[in-house]
Amino acid sequence: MTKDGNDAGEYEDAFSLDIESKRFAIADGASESSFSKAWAQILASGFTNDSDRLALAGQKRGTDARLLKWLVPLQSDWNTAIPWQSLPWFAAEKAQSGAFAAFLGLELSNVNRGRVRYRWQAVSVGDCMMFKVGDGELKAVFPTESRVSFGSTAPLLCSNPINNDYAFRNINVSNGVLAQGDHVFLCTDALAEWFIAQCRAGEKPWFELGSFVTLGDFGETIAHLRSKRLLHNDDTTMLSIRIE
Amino acid sequence: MVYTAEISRASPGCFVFLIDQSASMADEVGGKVGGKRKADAVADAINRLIHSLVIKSTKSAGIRDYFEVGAIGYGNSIQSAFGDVFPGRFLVPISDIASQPLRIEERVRRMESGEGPDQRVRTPVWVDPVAKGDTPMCKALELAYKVIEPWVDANPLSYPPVVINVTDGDARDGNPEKTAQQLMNLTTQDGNLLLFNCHISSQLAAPVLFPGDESALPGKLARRLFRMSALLPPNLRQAAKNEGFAPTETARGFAFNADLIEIVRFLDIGTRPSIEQLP
Repeated sequence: MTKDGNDAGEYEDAFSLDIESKRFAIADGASESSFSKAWAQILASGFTNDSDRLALAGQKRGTDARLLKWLVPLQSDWNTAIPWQSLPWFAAEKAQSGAFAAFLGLELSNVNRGRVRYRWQAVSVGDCMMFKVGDGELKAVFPTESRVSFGSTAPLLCSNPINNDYAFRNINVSNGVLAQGDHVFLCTDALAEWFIAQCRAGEKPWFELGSFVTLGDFGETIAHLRSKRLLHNDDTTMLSIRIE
Repeated sequence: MVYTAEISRASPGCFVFLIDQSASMADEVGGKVGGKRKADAVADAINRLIHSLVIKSTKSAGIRDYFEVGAIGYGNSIQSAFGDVFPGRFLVPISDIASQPLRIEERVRRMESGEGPDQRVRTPVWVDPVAKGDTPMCKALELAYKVIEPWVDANPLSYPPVVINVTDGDARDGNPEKTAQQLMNLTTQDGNLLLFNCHISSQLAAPVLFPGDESALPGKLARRLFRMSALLPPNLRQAAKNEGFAPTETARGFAFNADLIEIVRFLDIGTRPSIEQLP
């Protein structure tokens, strides 16, 4: 859902999913950078596409090298998508720094051992988060809260390779299992921050987030939370994955 | 809480630069023979700041009007320091500023040794250096009032305007303190207008930035400009701390005997918290 005060075309989050390959991704383009929407879309769809996929190994070792290699064609795609010749001087100057985005990619692989249905592996940079709920309780949070800084200091992946040092020092990787009945939520930062605040207050936000049937339900809840200033006014995106 | 309004297209910010363009601005900064002229240093610093405001407001192929900017020169006459680019307008939306610089120059940026060859960079210019005439600071402050009063009426929810007066000396058309106070009485719902004063040094002397009281200031001019300067709100105090200064709770937006580096740092700190209020 777009930030209040912005047009729908100014929405800079992105999400992508491929049910067949069981790949899911969300990305949050930084409002301070230019052409962030395009970059967020390229990252999210780049993770779920068939070709040149980012291989996940569930552990941090080697992830930075694989991530670096994975980004190369995506950065080229972004560069190609920019209408450099027609940009006024200020737009070209700003775009040269690149676009920035937080990113989280999740992959499931079949296990089918008793109630355990899938093994999950995830990678992220920045303040997008994953919450796994099972048996009515919060079972896993990725990345851990200590690894997430909401706000302007969050590390972000950049479409310009020279501006990725900070991001590459802050790659998060993890893995686990998912059982029948589990529910996974992928959230961009505003909703993630609200989710954590609710948990700290002893609440169970997954009941509300898991109850949406339509996009309208989601929109109404987000609007309500924003009006109560419980949710930061920002583009808000959620992927909800139920494990059958 | 005041000075916390978010800057947006619906509630833009406002910056006005008052630029001393009197004859003495042709002298070198700090009295350094062969050094940079004060007028050139000030013009460069303001152009650089406007450049950063343009880039901050740029979004993809366009510009978002997060700010309105004015520059009033006072010396031989009192006029817009943007020249004839915006006839009849003293406050201009950042989108117009971006699309209509006076010119774009190609300048050579010298790289630190080992970092590669010098780079040619395109540098937009909005304000040219001028050094002619006297110092009608009171009239400049009055004009700022006339320009900004309708703006605060039209933008009641905005972060308060920031006016930065850059001068190398005292007013020659009266005592500017009363006019300065009238200017600082303009308010939005988020607080009073912030008037900051930056004095450029004419001799080798230690700079004083963000002092908390006037008792230790050197001379009548310094103390006058101090009294004409607004208290730093909490977010600007934090910005100053982040830059290595140690402002007290009574610190004001005032610099005395500023040199080349201090001019830039002062302008940056004076405007950055507003920029950081951007969505």
